[in-house]
Amino acid sequence: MSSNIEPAILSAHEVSKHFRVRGRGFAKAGHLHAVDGVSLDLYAGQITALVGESGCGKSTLARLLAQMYSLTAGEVVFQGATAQASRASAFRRYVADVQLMLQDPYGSFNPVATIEQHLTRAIKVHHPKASRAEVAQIAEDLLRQVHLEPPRQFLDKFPHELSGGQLQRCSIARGLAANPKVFLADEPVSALDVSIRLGVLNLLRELTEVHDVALLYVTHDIASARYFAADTAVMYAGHMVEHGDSEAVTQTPAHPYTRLLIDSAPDPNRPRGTTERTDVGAPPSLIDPPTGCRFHPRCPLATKLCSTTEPPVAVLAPGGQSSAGRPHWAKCWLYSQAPAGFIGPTQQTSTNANTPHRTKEKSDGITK
Amino acid sequence: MRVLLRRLVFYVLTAWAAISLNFVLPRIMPGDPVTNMVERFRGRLTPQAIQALRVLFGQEHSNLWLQYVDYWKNLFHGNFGISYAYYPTPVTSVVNGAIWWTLILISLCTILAFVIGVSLGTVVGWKRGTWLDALVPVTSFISSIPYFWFAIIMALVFSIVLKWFPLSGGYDVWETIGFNSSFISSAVYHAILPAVTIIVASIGGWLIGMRNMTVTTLSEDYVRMAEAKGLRKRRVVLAYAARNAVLPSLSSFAMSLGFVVGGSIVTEIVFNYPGIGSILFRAAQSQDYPLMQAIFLVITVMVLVANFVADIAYVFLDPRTRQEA
Amino acid sequence: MSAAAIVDTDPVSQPTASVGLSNRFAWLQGLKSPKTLVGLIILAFFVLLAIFGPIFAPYDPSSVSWETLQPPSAAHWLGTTQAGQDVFSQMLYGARISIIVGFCAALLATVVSVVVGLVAGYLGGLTDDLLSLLANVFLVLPSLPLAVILVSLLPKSGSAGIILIIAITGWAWGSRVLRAQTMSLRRRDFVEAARATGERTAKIILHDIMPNEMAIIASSFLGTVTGAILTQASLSFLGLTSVSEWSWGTILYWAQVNSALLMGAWWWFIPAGLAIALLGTSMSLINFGIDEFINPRLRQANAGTKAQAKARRAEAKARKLGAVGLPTRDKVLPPEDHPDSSVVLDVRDLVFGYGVGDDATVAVNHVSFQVRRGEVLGIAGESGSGKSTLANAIARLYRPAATTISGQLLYTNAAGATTDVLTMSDEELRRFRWDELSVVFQSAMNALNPVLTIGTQIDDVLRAHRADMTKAERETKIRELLGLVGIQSDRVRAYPHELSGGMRQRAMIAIGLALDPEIIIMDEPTTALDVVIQRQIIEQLIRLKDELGFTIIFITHDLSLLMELSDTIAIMYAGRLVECSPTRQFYQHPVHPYSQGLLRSFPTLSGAKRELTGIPGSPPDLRHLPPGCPFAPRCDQATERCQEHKPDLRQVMVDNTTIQVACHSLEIPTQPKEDAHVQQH
Repeated sequence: MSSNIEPAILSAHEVSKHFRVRGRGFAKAGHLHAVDGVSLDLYAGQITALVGESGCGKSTLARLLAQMYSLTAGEVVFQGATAQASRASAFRRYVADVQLMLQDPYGSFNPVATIEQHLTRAIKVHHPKASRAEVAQIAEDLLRQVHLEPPRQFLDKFPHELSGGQLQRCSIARGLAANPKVFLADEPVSALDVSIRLGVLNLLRELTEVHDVALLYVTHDIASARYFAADTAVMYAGHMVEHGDSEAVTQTPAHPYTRLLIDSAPDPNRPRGTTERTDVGAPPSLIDPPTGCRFHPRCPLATKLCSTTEPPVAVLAPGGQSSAGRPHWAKCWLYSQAPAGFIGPTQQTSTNANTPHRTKEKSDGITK
Repeated sequence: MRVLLRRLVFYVLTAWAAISLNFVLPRIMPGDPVTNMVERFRGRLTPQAIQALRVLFGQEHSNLWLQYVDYWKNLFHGNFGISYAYYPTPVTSVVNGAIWWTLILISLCTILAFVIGVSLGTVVGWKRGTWLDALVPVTSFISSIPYFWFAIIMALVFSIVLKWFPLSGGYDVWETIGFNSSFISSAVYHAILPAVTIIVASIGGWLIGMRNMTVTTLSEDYVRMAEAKGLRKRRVVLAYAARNAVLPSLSSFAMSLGFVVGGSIVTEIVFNYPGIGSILFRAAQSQDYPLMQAIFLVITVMVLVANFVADIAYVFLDPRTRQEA
Repeated sequence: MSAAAIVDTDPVSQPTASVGLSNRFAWLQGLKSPKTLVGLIILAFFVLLAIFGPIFAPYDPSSVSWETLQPPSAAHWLGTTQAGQDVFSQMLYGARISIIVGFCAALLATVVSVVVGLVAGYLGGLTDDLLSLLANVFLVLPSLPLAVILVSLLPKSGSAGIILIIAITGWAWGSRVLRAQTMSLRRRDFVEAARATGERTAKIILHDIMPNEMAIIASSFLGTVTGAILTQASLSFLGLTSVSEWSWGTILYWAQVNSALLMGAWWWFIPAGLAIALLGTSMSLINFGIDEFINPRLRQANAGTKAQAKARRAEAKARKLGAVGLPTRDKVLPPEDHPDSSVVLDVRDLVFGYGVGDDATVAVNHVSFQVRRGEVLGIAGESGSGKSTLANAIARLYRPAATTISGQLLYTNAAGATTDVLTMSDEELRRFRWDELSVVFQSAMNALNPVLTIGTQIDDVLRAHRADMTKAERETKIRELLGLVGIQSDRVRAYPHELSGGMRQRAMIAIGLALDPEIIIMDEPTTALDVVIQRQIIEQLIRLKDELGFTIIFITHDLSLLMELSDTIAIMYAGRLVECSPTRQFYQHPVHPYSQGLLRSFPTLSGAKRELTGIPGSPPDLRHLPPGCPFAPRCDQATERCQEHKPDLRQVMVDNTTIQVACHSLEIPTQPKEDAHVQQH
């Protein structure tokens, strides 16, 4: 690792997750390739956005990082050591450091238990020796941390008595009970009203800064990634297609899919009728995914090469400025054939240059 | 039709389980059933009959597997042994003489009850909030009545007090069984009271289930959409509400059918109807195990076949099940 | 750290006022209904009978006497049997056995079904496969014949054996229901959240799954009690239980064996059957209450009964009032009343409310606006702002029935004739809906009938409204419509589940276009879709609109989408329209503080980053609105006047454009603060 960049606290190295699809009766069983060979690094005190459409594998990746699912291939590395949380006790130790937060504020609370019961349970898991009074004290502190004051007013409430924004704050408080080093937030604000979202996002950002927590922000809303996250990673059909500084990814998107995503997002700054596109495609079936680049059936720029061979990581020029010093890369043959203005590794063996983790050393010289 | 094939495999498996259960049960039950029975029929059993009993209860070979093979052989030859209750008639002929009465009576009644119950349920569900809601507690009362007791009341009112229908039997004794009009009309005449009993007693379950499903379905968006589209009421009710609401009724057919069949069989006893129920009663009276187990197997097969028919109807009505996985 | 300009907002907000009823036992609320209460009383009566009956029994139920076959008398309240036994005493003793057997068997069966259902549903996989197979086998095996076989093999036919056998034959149904419920609960986020905090599986099952299934467990238990009592009675009636142990079934057995029916001894068999039936009825009555709790739609159906009648009266009244304003229907209004014939829909002072008493909610509160022919009117608002209610009100598709309606919905058709939609009769409404106005619902998956093909669902519209079209003409029209929205015409025979989400939404639009309506109301048509698919559909929609010239009322919470799409934007807050202005104008100079807050809430993709501040607090509860401006508690510009008086929607000139806004700060027209929102374009 290069000295001016601190090591990632939590990384996924080439992880894959294939779900077995039940062949009902005599139908042949298949595998849903939810995530295939994806790498991602999270850094303390930094927000990384993971963007993609539904079914692209972004939530699965978050759950793989949380060790909620077993890996099909690859490894998850936490603080330099491979995370092995197959045993229940190991899993409990792991979740004390890495917390997952879910999308639906109403769904993620048991409707028949109060907020206090929820918090107490979470606190007891991680502070098994705390006395009753201590637990109550911790619960109140947690609510104060998420700006729900006075805490007593919220502790006795049932989930349906609180608003979505308040519940999502409680959800964060529950996650904080473990005093985690990594927060994996799966669409934390998608179910909330626009006017409420910002408050919750700001709270998450505040916690990242105050507690020096690494935050993975999984979202389908690439515009919010631009505002909220330092880095943005884009997934399509189980593959990571682009990664880089959020401003670079949103302002100078490299991968044709990222461009499609950005052009499709509503944007009032854009005059009406200027983005007419002919794309009528849809993401492919992941049970039998396309070979090569998974975007090639929809890609207007696809060549024969795209349909046969998976493109390697191509690091883009420092044109896309990188505030955190990490490179902006895309997996697309457009850049691997090294057109003018782009510098990229020319190795086309996917094993070599596939992880940002490994290309870092090379790119550091370029960006710094 | 992969779904149906899968269901078929399941039913074959269930039939195998039932038949094997029938084999296993007497062997794991405490005590010695053969000795018990021989004692109960002291002196009346021929050595051959006792031998057959030993085969049935597995005291012939010590090897359990050979017993099991023998058991299946007997089954395929229709050899269920000799009935004690109808001694010395073979079980097969006893069952054979009764099964058709029951089969025709119950299948007709079940179909009628289902159709009437589901139609009424649709109407009551559609007209929710009107006086028709009062039907719901009434039906739940009727469906809580034991079938056989309801049969007794029906017999009391219509045969004994009003004398509209014969009290017992399946046909007039002087008729010869056969395909002739006077026999058929006599059989129909005798069947009316048991049939009405079974239909009325089993209608309630279908009605309430369908009513609740209709009410639930009516608040679905597609029904609202159908209304918004300006369709005629009839079309909305039939093609949008009822068509979807009937699916759960069909899929719960299995449980209900077992219940209806059980109830109907006991009903036959009250009317002394010459079906399976009456011979089951007699078999139970005289602890005629061979006859009872044959009846159990026959009814099980009947119910499985009926379930399969319901599955076919379900697949026909719900396109989602036709999707190849 | 990239420096996005997000300014922190005051996040503190008050919990919404709401009844603080413990949810865990909320289902017991269902017991309050009169039906359930009657059931409970009957049940209590029989349970008391079972406990104390034998103590008060006047005779030994088995002792014979010379008083044979006596009808009911003072000495023998329910008469005597052929052996001179007292039927009343037999009934009292019988209650004990019948109820004990029924409850114990049901308890045992329920325990088995809970364990099997929870384990199979929660663990899934092979465990689930095997347990489900077992349950399904027991489900299709006819239970009575199976019980008969089991009983006949039992060495002793005491009650314990009977209980065991009934439990064995009766557990499968409950386990199937509970397994399905557990599986759906397991997929719920709160179970995953509990797993993510590192909770033990056993604890999750006990704390998260079980409490949410109590109602179903109770209902399944009560159902099994009825079944068990009936099975016990049947087995006794067949003589398979101990005939000297008195139960209600045994009484019926002796009556049958002794031909009580032929002897006209009705007192012998009537009480026992009646008791069984009553007990069973009490269980189903209690279950009604629980069912209504489990399935809220059933509750609404019943609760709506009274409200519905009231609402119908209110509606009739509203129609009458409307009729006063409109002397003759279908008549063109005088020009001074309707100065602008380009207005296709004129909503005037529309009020729309639901519920009565404490639950009374005015979802649409004095809303007025006009829609011009061929324009796209966007209505934006947060959840609970009343925007969907407004959509349903315009189409008169409200459910449950509204309890208050007032105002006018003036529709002007292409020929210039104006009608008040609120005063239309059912038949007029049926023709109006879809010929003149159609609706595209939010979730196409729910709004399309799952058992009919897409083609049939379009055909239904044509058949209902275009009776003169032949089958071939309709066929052509359907293919044409599908082509318009970009669905290949061979998908005409596809069922909804065979289409992707985007295709289903396209099919919805095709249905909406079937009769070439003047207005299409779209209620969050693309919310459930991904942005790329949403973009495809929106573009298609705009092309179609330009081609066919219909008017769109587009309702969404996504303001940025609306700004790209609509000509006019109307913002709703707490049931009221707070601002309505041309889109460009709105984007550049939002006037209402809420609009300004909204524009400062959503991130943009192109251009430089803007300052985002959001809006503090949360939307109000419609049932407990503040007396003044509903936005005042969240408004940084609110004055004392705002806390006390509701501002009216009034026309204001801003930048030479007439806009409508409801804010006290606009009464002395001021220029909106320039620096507050837009920095560039």
